[in-house]
Amino acid sequence: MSHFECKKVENCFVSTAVFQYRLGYKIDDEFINWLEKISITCKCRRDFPRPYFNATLADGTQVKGILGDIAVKVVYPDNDSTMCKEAFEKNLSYCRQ
Amino acid sequence: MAAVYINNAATAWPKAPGIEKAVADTIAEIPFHPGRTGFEVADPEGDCRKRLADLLQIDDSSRVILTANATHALNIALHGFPWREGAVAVVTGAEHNAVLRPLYFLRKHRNLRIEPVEVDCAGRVNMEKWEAALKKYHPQLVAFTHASNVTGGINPVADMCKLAKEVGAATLLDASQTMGFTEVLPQKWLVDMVAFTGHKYLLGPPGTGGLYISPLIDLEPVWVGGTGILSELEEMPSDLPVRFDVGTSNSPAFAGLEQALIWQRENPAPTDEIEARLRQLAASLTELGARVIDWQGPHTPVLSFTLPGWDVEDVGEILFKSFDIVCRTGLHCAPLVHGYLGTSQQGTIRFSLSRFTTDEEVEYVLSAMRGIIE
Repeated sequence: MSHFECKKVENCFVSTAVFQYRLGYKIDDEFINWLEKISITCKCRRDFPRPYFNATLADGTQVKGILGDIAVKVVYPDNDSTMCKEAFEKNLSYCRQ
Repeated sequence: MAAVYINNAATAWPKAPGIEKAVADTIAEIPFHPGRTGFEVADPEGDCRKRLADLLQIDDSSRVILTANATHALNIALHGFPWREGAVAVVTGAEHNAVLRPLYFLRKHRNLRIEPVEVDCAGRVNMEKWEAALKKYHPQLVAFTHASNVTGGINPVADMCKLAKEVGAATLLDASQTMGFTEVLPQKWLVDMVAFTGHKYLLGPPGTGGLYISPLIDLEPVWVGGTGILSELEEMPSDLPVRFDVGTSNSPAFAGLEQALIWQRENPAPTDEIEARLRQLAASLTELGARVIDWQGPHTPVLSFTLPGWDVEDVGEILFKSFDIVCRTGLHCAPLVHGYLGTSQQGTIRFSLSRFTTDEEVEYVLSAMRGIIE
């Protein structure tokens, strides 16, 4: 199982469910491949100076970040954030076996 | 290209040349306390106060209270104000939480009524509604921002104060977004109190700010304690600035702010060049499909926009993480104005330039935006 540290990200809005996941490894193509498998859309802008990716899962969860970084930002849908968070974290823990 | 910083409406960077040395020199010097050692010594706070009085074009520098920032100054003004029972405060719909939250606190604990007045799509107060609100509510105080920190739109302060005075209201101006960028003239404009910060367009260190208090206003001190002089008194002395000058102040930071004020006076900002860069950004972003908030009048070097189909926070993150461009996204601590701008859901992406922003940086920002959008 992969280990990660999860921290709530505060922004201007009271009700948002945004979390940062600090991974034990750098985000690379293997991570993007995994993200493509679990998402319905996954875009990676490799034309940017530091490539940026953004994926949307079937339940509305969004995963965003930078290739080469060690953290991703995850935005859970407002209406069902707890369930979605549990599901994503379970997935994430099996990302690198 | 090195990092591009266009978040000057939050904190200006880079700072005025020479302030690091002024701060360091003050820290390195023996900390004599003016008036307490029996001989003439350096007085960074007094010197800074005189420079600020010059900038504000007021006669008496003792009426400038030094504070840690504009929020502290606003709290001193609003909590120290002699509110009558059931009093009304009129504000604009573009206020920062630094004005709103102390007022909300007073509403909860002192039964104050707050009446926000509608602003237009540039964040500037609607003057007809301002006049109507003053006549309807007869406020004891009007408190308003000189310029919206979201849109940059500058309010007609003199006209607003004239109307406020006609109904007997005291006037408090939040000049956080304008001091150092444009004139702030309390005596000429009938402003009773001006709160400002040192770390934005004054180009000074963070942790500096101030409050001008006119002779017509008698505030109770919010903080009480040691003043170093008149120590036999049980209450705070009545003279300014010592009435509000409690505890040991941040002398090195105020020495830095004084240096910034000296430098700014000797090097006036190239406002035409800043304006040209801002307009280039606005025009190009509009061409790219951004919904740019048009100032429609006088403004600070601030540009707010949204991008259809994009989350504003995502744009800010991409600019920072992929392109090393530092801007700001969200509500910018001014929640009410977004109701008038139609941006309550996400807020805006805000670019705020400074006198140090270059043409090359503007072009780099635009190329990044093209890359994101296309």
